[in-house]
Amino acid sequence: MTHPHDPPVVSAEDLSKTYRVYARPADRLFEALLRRPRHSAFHALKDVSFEVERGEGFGLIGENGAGKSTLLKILAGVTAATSGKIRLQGSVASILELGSAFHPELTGRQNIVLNAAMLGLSRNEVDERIPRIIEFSELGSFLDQPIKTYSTGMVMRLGFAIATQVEPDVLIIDEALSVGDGYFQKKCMVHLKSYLDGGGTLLICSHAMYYISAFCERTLWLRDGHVEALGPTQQVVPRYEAFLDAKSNHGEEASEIVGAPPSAPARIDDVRLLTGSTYRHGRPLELEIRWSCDDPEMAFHLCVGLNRPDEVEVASFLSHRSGAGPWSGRTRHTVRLSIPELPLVKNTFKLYVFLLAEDGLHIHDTWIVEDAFNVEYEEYPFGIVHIPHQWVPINDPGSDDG
Amino acid sequence: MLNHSLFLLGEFTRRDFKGRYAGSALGFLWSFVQPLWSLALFTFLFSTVMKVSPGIGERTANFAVFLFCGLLPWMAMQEGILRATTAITDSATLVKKMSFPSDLLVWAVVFAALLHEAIALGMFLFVLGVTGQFSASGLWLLLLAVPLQVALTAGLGFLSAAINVFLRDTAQINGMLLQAWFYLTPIVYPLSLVPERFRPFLELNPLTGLVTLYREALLGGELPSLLSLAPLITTAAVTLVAGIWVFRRLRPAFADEI
Repeated sequence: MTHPHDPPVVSAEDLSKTYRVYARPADRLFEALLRRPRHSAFHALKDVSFEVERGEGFGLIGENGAGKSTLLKILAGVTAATSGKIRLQGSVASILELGSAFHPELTGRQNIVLNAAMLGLSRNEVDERIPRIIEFSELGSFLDQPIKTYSTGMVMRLGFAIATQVEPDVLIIDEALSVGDGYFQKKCMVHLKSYLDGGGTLLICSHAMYYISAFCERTLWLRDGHVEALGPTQQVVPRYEAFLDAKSNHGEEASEIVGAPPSAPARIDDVRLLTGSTYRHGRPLELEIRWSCDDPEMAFHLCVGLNRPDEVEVASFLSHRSGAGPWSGRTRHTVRLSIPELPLVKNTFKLYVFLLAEDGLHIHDTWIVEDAFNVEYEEYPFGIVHIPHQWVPINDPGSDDG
Repeated sequence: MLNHSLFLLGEFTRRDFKGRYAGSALGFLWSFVQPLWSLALFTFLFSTVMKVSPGIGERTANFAVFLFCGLLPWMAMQEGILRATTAITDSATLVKKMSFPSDLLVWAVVFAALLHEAIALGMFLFVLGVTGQFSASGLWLLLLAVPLQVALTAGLGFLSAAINVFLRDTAQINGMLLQAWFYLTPIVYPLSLVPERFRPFLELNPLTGLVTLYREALLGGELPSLLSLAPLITTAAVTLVAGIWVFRRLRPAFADEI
């Protein structure tokens, strides 16, 4: 949905933000009034430039303290840049912290009106959208209860429902994707996808590379306030991940994978390696995955990842990319993954099985098989993979002594 | 744009009004109880114990009626200024996380205070009616008194709200200053009781004009001389302009400072 001739929706030119650190709070007041410096400086952003086209998903990644939140705050108009230019076309709604604008004593319904008004809707627009917001949030009879009685998940659901139903030209989301339970997360992701498809522009800041990869065509990597990399997500994210790996943050990635709670609408029941725990070169590998769900209407895709023990991703098998599935129409499923041959030469491998929703994005459940199989060899092989090849002697007359 | 600001202002005022009484048993009735409580205490102290009476030249001989005319605008101003002082700091998360005209937070508490005053005023007029002291002839003066009062409240409110972001001491200081201002305004005593040599200073107090205007308005009086209203009119205009100017100048730094 990108229109190359339109001007960019967001355009930032040499944005810098310097936070002033004051010894005493009163110094700040005197300086603001008298315009005479009384501070030391902290550079949160240094000459950040980028453009976002209409209909584009744009990711923002970086470590904690890299300046992501500062940049989003400037884009959202909450704080001003110290220097540089920022141009935004159309309406902007930001979810910098879901539910932060709610008043705990007011009911959900009253908060919807207040929050939507703050996001820029007129009274008529609010009235028109309230039913949709209520429907999306699925809070039902809780809507007429004060917000203070809500659980965190409910507050987030309401916050997300408002921000998305406001339908801004540009939606800014800061770490707000982990909304509520798996079911609601899926719903939000489907909604964000259709928002993008409808020409909406999305700016996401997240530590979950999975979300960045799912929604963003381009990604900006901020490091210590400056642009470390800006380009296609497929290029920037692996570089960032390699950077994190180099900082030996191995555990972090794995800890993001959390199994579905027993009450989840769909869960993996069993994963079996039919071909046994020893793999011999040239043989097929067969994996049987069983899962169950509450609603036969639900449709599923599967993703199987093959990792080395040191978490190097060796191969992945995605049903929605190989034209298989989605599978639906029953509550108990069994699907077999057949791999005719693995070109692996040695080592023990680990299997990740992801039960995905129909969109191939949302993860219902994860199953990890540690030490799934070991590759046997007769003579110690060098390297990682077996690559078919030939050795051919060439009879070159020129080099022939005889 | 203005339309949207008014809509948002209405929602903020409602948020303030409803948020305050949420969870209390009497709720909204507190806006009746509080002024009555002050009225009873002051009447006992000043009228019964200290024998203050409105005296010659005032429109009523009843101390309670005299007192309440002055108490009405005073309570609204005090509430407006004190709550405006913390309006920005109390909504720190809003100011830090959302982009919206934050001056509406100050206007909202000023209008919520006015709403409380309107309730107390309605009650007061009802009592005057029942006791046969009601006169509608001066009520039009409220059209002059209320805007001046709002300008003065909002001006001081904006000033305090903005400064309080940087110096939290403002709220404490304001509490003390307002206490002094209350006793230096002829609310619990008539101006005629003030010694001659101090009277010019009290006449320069803008609230003297406001309280006088209210008494004339509610007790069937006339428009006071413009000279006596001059301190009120100039102070209201100057503080409103200065307050908004300072607020706008400091506003860009709010989100970084709170």
